[in-house]
Amino acid sequence: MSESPFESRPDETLGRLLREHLTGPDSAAFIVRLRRALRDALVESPWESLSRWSRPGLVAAGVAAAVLGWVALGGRRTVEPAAPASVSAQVIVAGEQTAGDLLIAAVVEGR
Amino acid sequence: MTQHSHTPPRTLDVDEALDAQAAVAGDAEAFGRLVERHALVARRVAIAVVRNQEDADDVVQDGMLAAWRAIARFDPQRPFRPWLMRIVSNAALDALRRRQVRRTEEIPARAESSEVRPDQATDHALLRARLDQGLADLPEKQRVAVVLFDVEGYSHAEIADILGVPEGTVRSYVFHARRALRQTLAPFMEAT
Repeated sequence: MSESPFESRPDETLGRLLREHLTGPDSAAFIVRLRRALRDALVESPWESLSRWSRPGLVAAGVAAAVLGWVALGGRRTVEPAAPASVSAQVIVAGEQTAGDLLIAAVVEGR
Repeated sequence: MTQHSHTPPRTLDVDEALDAQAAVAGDAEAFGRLVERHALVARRVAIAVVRNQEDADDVVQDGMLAAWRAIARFDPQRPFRPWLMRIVSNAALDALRRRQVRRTEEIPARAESSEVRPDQATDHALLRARLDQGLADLPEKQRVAVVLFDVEGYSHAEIADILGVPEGTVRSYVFHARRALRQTLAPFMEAT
């Protein structure tokens, strides 16, 4: 076998020696072990399933909470009536006030 | 590419492409077939790098799992085996680095000896010891390159893809690794 960096054929003698040296024992058993280990690793445990869904679940819960909060807050604003003003305040706000109006307002408020 | 005696026939390439496509779509059985097809090559590469069979088996397992986790990023238009072998050889190189760091931290005064002991008298034991020593003396990427080229029949281009280096660098790796191994194994290579 020539020694050149441009040699493009495998060295069969060296390759055979290395193959014999590097081939571990029980190849078939190794493959069985490997496939079993992969299968076990690929089967998700319930906790892994939960953790896989936890992030999108949290995001969805956050969005739902935000929507509910907005609806509740907005709903209260539209449905809740304005705080009732006192009779006197309503009378005062009503416009021109006469002395009679002020007297009625004072009587109604118990002054 | 020069076809080596161990290179799988072309029909397997078609099966492999179909299995790779299925695996990308999430078919674990198809991925299992791919793993089975490449497990022994991966194991030899891992043994060459970490030089310990139990560690190598762990490395192959870790590498295959990493490949499954990354399978969605694999482009089915490209060949599967260099992609898989890149993941496995990186796992082996990482494991070796971690082990070297651990040993340096734990037992700094004692270096691993790969010297051939005089009591390893039989030819077979001597051959094994020389191969061990020959591989140990090579830089890790040269080990991967010579094993993939001379043992597994991978092309220079595929090995370049696996190691992330130019093709010319792979030729240089193979050339230097072969020269060193031939010197170490000279009596056995002449005898065979």
